[in-house]
Amino acid sequence: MEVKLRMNEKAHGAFYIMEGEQRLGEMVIGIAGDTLTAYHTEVFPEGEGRGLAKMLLDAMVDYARQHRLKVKPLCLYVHAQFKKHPEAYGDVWQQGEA
Amino acid sequence: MYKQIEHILEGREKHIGDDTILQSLPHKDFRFASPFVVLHHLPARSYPAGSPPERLHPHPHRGFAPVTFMFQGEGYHKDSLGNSGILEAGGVQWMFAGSGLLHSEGPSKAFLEKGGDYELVQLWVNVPARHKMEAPFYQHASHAQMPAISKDAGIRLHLASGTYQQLTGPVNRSFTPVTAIFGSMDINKTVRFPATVGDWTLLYVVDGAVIINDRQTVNKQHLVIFSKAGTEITVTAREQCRLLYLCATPIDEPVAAKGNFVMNTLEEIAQAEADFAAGKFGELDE
Repeated sequence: MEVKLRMNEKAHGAFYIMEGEQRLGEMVIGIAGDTLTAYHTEVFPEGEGRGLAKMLLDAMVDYARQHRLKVKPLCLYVHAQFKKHPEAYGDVWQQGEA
Repeated sequence: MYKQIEHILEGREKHIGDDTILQSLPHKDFRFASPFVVLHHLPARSYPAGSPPERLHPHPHRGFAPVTFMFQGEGYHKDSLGNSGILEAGGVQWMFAGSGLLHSEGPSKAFLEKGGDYELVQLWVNVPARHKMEAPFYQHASHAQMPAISKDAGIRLHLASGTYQQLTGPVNRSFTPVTAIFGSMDINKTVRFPATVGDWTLLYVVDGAVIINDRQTVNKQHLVIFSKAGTEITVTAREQCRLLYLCATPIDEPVAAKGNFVMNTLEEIAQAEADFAAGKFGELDE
C-alpha cells in the first residue's frame, strides 16, 4: 500500500492510496501560491477500517511542511482533525480562512 | 408476492468532521440503488443541557437531494444562498442541492441549551441527469403535516413523500417517484408495504429489531435491499423499533458519486471539484 500524489497542470490533484492497481482512498487538493487547499477526503468501502484517512492526512501534512505550504482545510475531515489536534497541525493550519 | 431480501447491509462507522455516523449505503457488498445513493445514520447521542455549539463545517453539494429525517432532537441548517431553518423532531427536510451550494448543519441552539437526545438519518436521493444543474430548493414537512399510515396507536409511521394506499406525502418534488415512510412501531405490530414491481425497495432499521415477510429477523442499524420482483413486504416489530421505509422508481443512468457530489460522469465530478475550488458554490462562514 502506498500514497501517491498526482497533480494536473492547474495544480489540482489528489493524494491517492493504492494497493496494487486498486485505489482505496483519496484526498483532493489544490495548490495556489503558498496555500494547499484540502477539498475532500474519501476512503472507499474496500479500504474502510484501516486508518487510511489518517494516512492521507499525514501524507498531505508532510508534503505541506516540506514545501513550506499552509493548509486551508475545506474538507470536513481535515478541518476536524486540525481543530482537535492543534498541537500536531497548528504549524501548517492557515487559520481564519476556513 | 413478497419482494425477497437480496442484501442485509450493516451500517459501518464512518467519521465525518467530528461526527461518527453509520453508513449502510454505499456498502462494499452493494453500491447504489439509484435514486438512493447514500444512507447515513447519526445514532442517538445525548447532549447535557448547556452543551457548546456544534456544527458540521460548511461543505458543498451538487446533483442530488440530501434528505434529513429527524428522529430525535432539533437541527439547524444554513446555506450559502441565505437559507436557514430549524428541523424539529419527527420532521423531514428535503433539500435539492441542484447546481450547488454550501451548507452547514448541526443541533439547534435551543436544543443544545435544553439538552436531550439527537438522532437523524440522512439519505442522498439522486435526480435524473437533466435536472442536476437546476436551481436548489427546499421542502420541509413537520411531523404534523405527514399523514400516519395507520390508525393503530402502536404504529407511528408517517408518510413523508410518495403514496401509501390513498395517502399522499407532503414532499412532492422529487423529480422521480420516491416513497419515504418513517417512525416507530410497538412490539408485535405488523405493517404491510405495497411496492411496485421493478422499484428499488429498502428498509433501514434505526433501532430495535423487525421480522421481514414473517421469516427473516433484521436487527438495528441494518439496511435491507429487496428484490425488484414482487409487490409487497411485511414488517413485524420484534421489539419496539424505529425504521425508515423507502421505495422508488430506479434512475437507470450512470452514477458518479464522489465526495459531496452525485453526477453521471467523472468529468462532471472533476468539474464540480474545480467549481468548488474556484469558489462557485458561494461562501458560508460557519
